[in-house]
Amino acid sequence: MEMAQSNLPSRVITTACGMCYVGCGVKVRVDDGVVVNIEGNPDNPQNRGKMCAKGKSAFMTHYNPHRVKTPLRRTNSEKGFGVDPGWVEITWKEAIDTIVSQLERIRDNPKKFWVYAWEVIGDNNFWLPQLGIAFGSPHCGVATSPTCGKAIHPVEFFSGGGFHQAPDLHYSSYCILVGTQFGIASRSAFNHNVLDMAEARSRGMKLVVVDPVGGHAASKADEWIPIRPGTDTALANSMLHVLLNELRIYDEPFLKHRTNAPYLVGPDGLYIRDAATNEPLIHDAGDGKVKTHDDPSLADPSLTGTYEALGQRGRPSFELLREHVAKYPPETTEKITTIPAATVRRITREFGEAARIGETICIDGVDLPFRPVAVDWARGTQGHKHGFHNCWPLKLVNIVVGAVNVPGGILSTGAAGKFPHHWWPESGTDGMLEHGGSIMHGFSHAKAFPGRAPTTPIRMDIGELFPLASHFQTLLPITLENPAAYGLSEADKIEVLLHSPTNPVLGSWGDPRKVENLLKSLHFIFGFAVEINETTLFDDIVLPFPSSLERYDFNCGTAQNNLGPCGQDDFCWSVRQPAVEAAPSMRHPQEVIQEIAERLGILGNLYRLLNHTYGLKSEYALQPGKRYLVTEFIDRAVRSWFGEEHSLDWFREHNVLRHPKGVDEAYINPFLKARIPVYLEHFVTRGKELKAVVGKLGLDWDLSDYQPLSDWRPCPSYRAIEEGEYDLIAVHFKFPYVYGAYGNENPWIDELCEATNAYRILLNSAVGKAKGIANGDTVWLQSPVHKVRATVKLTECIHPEVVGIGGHFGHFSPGMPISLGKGVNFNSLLPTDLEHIDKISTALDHCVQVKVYK
Amino acid sequence: MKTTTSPQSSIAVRVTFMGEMVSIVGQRELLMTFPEGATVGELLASLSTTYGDAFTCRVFSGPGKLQHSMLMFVDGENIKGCGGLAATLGNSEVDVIMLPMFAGG
Repeated sequence: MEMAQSNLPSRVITTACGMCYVGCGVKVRVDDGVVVNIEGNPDNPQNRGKMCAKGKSAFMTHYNPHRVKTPLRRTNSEKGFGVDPGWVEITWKEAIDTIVSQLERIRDNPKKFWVYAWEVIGDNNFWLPQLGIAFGSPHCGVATSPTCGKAIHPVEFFSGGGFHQAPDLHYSSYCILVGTQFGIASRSAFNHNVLDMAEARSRGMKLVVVDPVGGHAASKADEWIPIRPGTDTALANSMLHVLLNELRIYDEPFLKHRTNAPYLVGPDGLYIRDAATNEPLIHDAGDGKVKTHDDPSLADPSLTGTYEALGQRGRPSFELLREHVAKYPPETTEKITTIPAATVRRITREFGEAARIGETICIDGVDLPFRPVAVDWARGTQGHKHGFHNCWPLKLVNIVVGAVNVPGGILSTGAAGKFPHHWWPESGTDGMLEHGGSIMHGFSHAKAFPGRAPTTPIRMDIGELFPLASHFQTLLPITLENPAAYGLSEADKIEVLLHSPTNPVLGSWGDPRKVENLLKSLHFIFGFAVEINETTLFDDIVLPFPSSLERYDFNCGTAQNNLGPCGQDDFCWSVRQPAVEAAPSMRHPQEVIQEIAERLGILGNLYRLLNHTYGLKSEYALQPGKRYLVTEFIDRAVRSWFGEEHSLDWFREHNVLRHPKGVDEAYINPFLKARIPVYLEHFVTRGKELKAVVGKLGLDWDLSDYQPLSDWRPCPSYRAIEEGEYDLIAVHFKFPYVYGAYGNENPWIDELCEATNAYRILLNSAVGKAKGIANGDTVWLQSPVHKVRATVKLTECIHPEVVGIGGHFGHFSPGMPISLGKGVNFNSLLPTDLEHIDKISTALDHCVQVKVYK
Repeated sequence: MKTTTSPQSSIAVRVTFMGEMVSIVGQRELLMTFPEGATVGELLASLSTTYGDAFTCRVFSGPGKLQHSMLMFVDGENIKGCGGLAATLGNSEVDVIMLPMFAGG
């Protein structure tokens, strides 16, 4: 621990935590220049004074003796797992000279530059990709997980208007969590939501958790329902069948006027459209006429029946949905999900009755629909071969009862606001919700509507062949193996990588051999690092990155701008400021990025992009020809957003700016001038277009997921179990004290993991007994691509066909001696090929067949 | 946005590309000439003709509709605030930028 600054007074710095993307408000006590304690800031709505173990232990990460504090250069030209890079310390000048010369080398072919920008703790999540865009690279990824966010955002932007979904715990009386531990162990404004969840349960809200793993969320639930991995589509379609066909519980006015349920669909699966305007048609039971969806005379849209329109027989999409889900009675899906039919019927009836369809609630003098039910889902449902359709029908369960962006229902985070500026979702194509809302101006939404026309790829990640997906980096280890198969050549290969201080080797792909091949194929890698992790081991130049207690950020994390607390809790904005000064050899990344851009002659372009992203008013905009200290940039940004009186000095003193939310900002659906889908008509069109393109390339792709209504299709692991070579399916789950790999090298987090057996894999007790495996035994865990040693924890709280692997462990970098050799890296077990990629979302299948033996 | 009062019958436009568009066009910058009164939409139509489907599908989500990931400035001003595709060009500096989509995970 550094004790250099002696005889300094004790002081408390109010700032934002940086141990994950939430950005909780914290008060950091510094005695004699040393951080000695961190507490939650009760004035910050993001966490209301609450803290998690990660945040409390942040200063142990800061004082990690193995931190990188000066630029490093590799001396060993050989790369690979287990290879010593032979680091030598170098000056910043040498580091940046080397980086600039490598980028100059590929200047005329900028698609050879790849920016891995996942740095969701603060501003560099925007600064890093903007450097790549200004350079002209198409490969600038701000999302990098092979699962997380693949379906959530594309679904949420077209069905809610915001970045993510979250149950309204303020009013909910019945909440079903599917493959997520929201409000208990993970996600969004975590420490805020934990309190809301506790209060909701105390109030009497029923919590049902559907998950293969009976983890932290299940332990707090009224009911835990184990489900076979990758079968959520079947469950959701059964719930829809029970609601729509058996109980006939649905919000008819909502479906008629706020969704595309009445849009007439022809025999080809496409809308029947008005000949003159091309707008979709609706049958109006009020006057018996067929008219466009935006006809002012539209009074009573029909949800059932068959109608003649423009020479075609059209049926409302709602009727097609109802007919479609009738294929999924609970008795049929019981064989798929392993959930008893009676259980599905019971929870669906409870959910439908609790929805209180037709009721309203008055909040602040405004009458609003009251639907106190929500089905929430997240990472667990996304990570599958058919990830998109494994998620979308779960959202539909909310939609059919009208529980979307109304009190008690499923809400859309960060979708709308009026302070410090106005942002709001808007309608577009076919009268549907098309343009999501975001407080950040330069935000290109990750949305699946209306998508893009597919074309022959020029991108190395073949993003052109995934016209409804939002990020494609997961494809890179696959396309690298045979670029010619996708119409690419050697000249298209990426040569230079810039990465954020995260760890994609353990978290962004699967099969370790393919990840190693990808990184070894690159000519030059430079990245920021807090510590030498498994990704850093491949770097040619390492740039030191400040700890969360040393850095400045205008934007304190993704949760501040997109994932804040839902409902009417105050809007808030805080600024991250250092609690202690960084070592003299450290530099703020924003200032490093400016220097690189200036040397490359693209500083003006970078500023244009940053000015747009941050929405800087002209008098505060960054001016070409000048470089700015990070403090100067933040001062401009806060004054531009919040007025002259709210300078950086104001935020240094007060740290948090709060503003009350109006009812319309909290519950946007009644105020939204757009319809949301129950039928994905554009999937039909995009599927046909894609079929033509992949046909020209000679690719034999199964594009059956390009359909407007969801069907359950099995993951490869499902079939593998049936065939018998493997008998278990491994899945991943989260701990509340581990976010990604952040904190793995923190001794306090390590102690917590040891004390809770977090490093062990979970195996059902009965299965363990049958295999002769006892609690604490060391076993082999083998998937089709990887085999590792693991220690077993037997438990009854896991589906008997499943092995549970938590956290992001399994470190092997010598630069992480505390975490070295502990636990299992789940991703390393995953086959990484197109057979395991969702053709809609690019999600990598995260349920993998395994065997466990001594 | 410039309001052109020049008597000349044509205008010179410098187009700068950023992000994925550089690879589509194969250049970072183009100098183009248009008749006076030309619009942003006409500039894009001209580029669509030259660079084909690869350009068109990235720029447009439908007839006359810009993809949400496209960002365009004319003389530093976002075209959304000054008429969109109908904005009139002068002897302008135009930026055509394709942004990556921002997702989590």
